[in-house]
Amino acid sequence: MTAEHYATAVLPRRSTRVSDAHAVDAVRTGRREIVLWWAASRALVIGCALVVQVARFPRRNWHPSLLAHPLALLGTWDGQWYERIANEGYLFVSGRYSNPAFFPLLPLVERFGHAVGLPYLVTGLVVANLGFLAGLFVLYELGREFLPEGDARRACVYAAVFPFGYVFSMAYPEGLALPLVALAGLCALRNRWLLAATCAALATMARPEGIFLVLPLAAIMIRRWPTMTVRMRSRAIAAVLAAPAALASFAAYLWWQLNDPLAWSKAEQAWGRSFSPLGVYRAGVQLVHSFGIRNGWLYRDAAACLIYVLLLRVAYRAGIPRSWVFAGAAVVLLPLVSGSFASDARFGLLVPPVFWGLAVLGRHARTNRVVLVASPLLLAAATLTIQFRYP
Amino acid sequence: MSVFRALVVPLVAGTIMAAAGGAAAFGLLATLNPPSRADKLTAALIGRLDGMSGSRVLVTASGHRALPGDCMAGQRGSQIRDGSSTRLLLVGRKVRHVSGKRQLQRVVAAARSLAACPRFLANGLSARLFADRLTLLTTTRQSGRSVDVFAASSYRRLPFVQLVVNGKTLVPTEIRFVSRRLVRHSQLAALRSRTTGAAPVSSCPEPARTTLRAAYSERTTRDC
Repeated sequence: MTAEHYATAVLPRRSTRVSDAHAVDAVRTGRREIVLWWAASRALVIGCALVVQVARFPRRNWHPSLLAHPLALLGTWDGQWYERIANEGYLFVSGRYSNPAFFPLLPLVERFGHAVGLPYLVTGLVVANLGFLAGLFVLYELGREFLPEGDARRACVYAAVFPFGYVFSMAYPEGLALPLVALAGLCALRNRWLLAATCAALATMARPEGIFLVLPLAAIMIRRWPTMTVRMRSRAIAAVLAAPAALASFAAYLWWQLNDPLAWSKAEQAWGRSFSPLGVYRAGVQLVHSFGIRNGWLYRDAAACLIYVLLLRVAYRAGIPRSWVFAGAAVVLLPLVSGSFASDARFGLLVPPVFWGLAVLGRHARTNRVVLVASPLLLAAATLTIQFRYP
Repeated sequence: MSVFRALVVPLVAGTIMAAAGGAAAFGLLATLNPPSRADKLTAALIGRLDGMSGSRVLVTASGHRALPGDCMAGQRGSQIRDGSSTRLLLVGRKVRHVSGKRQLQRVVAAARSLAACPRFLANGLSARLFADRLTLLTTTRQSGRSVDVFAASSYRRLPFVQLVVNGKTLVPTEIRFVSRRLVRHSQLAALRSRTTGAAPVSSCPEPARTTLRAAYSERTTRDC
C-alpha cells in the first residue's frame, strides 16, 4: 500500500474510529453526570420535604406522622385527587371541585401498583421519580439530535435542578409525561413510528399537554414523507393521530361513565378555568387583583411563563426545529386563554425546548455557574413552600 | 393509482391504527372503578342543594313541642333562626351568635345541623363524598309508589347527623341529630330554588305541621 493509499483509506477511518470512541465516551460520561445530578436534586427535594414534615412548617396543625406517612408532603395537592381516581374512579360534581379535571394515566399506574401490594402514594412517588430519571436520559438523547452533546447534557442537568422540578418528585403525572413526550419525538426521528404513536397516546393520557406532540410529529412526517414507504407513512400518520385519539378515548370514557364527554372541561371551571376569547384578559385582571393578597403566588407562575417564552425564543434562535418551539409555546401560552396563570410554571416542565434554550444560554461559563448555584437554592425554597400554594 | 397508493392507503391505514390505539386506551380506562349509584346520587344531591337558597324546618324531639326554624343564605353566610329569638350566623362550618339567648355549644351544634342550610349540607356531602356516601336507608311508599330513602351520615361516632333523602326526587326530607344528650329530628319543607327569586322568609307564613309531614317534594315560595 502506498503512502497515498494509506492516507486516503486508513487515516480517515482511523480518525473516524477515534472520534466515535470520543463520542461514546462523552455520551457515557454525560449519562453518568445526569444520574448524579438526578440523585443529588432528588435527595435535595426529598430532604426538604422531610424537613417540612418534621418542622410542621408552615401549619402546626399539619403533622402527619413521619413514620406512618413519610413523604406525605409529596403526595399533597393534586396527588390526593389522583389517588382518589385510582381508588374510586371518576365522579363529576357540577360547580364543585371534582376529579374529571385530572387525566387518567397516573391513577391507572397507581392502581396497578396497588394491585401488586404497593400503596397508591408509594407507587405515585416511585413512578414519578424514576420516570423523571428516564425522562432526563431521553431528553439527553433527543437534545443530541438538535444540539451539540455539551448543550444536551447541560439541558438535562438544568432540568434536574430546575426550581419547579420538585413536581417531578411529587405524586403528579409530570414524571411520567416527560419521558413519554421526549421518547415520542425521539422515536419519530428514528423512524420508529409505532413506538412514537404509543408514547404520544400515553403522554396525552398522562397530561393534556401531550396533544401538542401532534406538531413535532407531523413536522417530522412531512419532512420525510417523500422518502417513506407506504407502510411507514401509515405508521407515521398513526403516530400523528395517536394523541388526539387518546384524548378522544378519554372523552368517550367520561361520556360513558358520567354522561358528559366534556366533564373534564366542566370540572376545570371549579378551579376558575374556562376557555373564552377574553381568557387572556381575565388572566391579566386576575394577576393584577392578586397583588398583595394570599393569591400573590400567581406572580411566580406569571414570571415562569415569561421566562419560558424567552427561553423558547433562545431555543428557536439556536436552531431547535420550529415545530418543537411552537408546541412549547402552545403548552405555555394556551392555558392563559382559560383565564389564569395558575400552574403555568408546572405546565412548562413538559417543554423540552425550554431546557435546551437554557442550555444554550449556559454556554457562557458565568451563566452556567449562576444557574447551577441559583437553581438548587430555588428548588429547595420551592419545596419548603409547597404547603403555601399548589404547583 | 399512484396517488391512491401514496396518500389514501397510508391515510386510511394510519387512521385505523390510531383508532385501534384509542380503543386500547379506552380499554385501559375501563379498568378504573365506575361511579356507584350512591356516588351519582350524592353528586346529584349536591347539585340540587347548591340550587337552593334556604330551608324551612320543624324541629321535633320526644317530649317537647315542635319548633319551627329556618336557614337563609346571605352574603356574609347563612342566617339560622331556631324558632325562638335566637339567631345564628353560619360561616363555613363556624357558627356565630347574632342575637337572642346564648346557648350551650352542643345546642348550637344541633341547631346548625338541624337548620338544614343547603350550602352547609352540600359542603359536608362534598367533603365526604368518597368517605361516606349516600346509603339506602329504607324503602317506603309515597302516593302508592315505592320510593327508596337514602341517608348520608356525617360521622360514625356520636354526635352524628343523618340526612335523609327521597331517592326518587333527591329532595332532602329529614335531618336527624343524635348525640348523647340530644336526639332531634328536622322535617324539611319549603326548600326554595335560587332560580325562583324567592321572597324573604318573613313574608311566608309558618307551614302547618300536617303539611310538613306530607311535604316530601320540593316546594317554592309560591306554595306558601
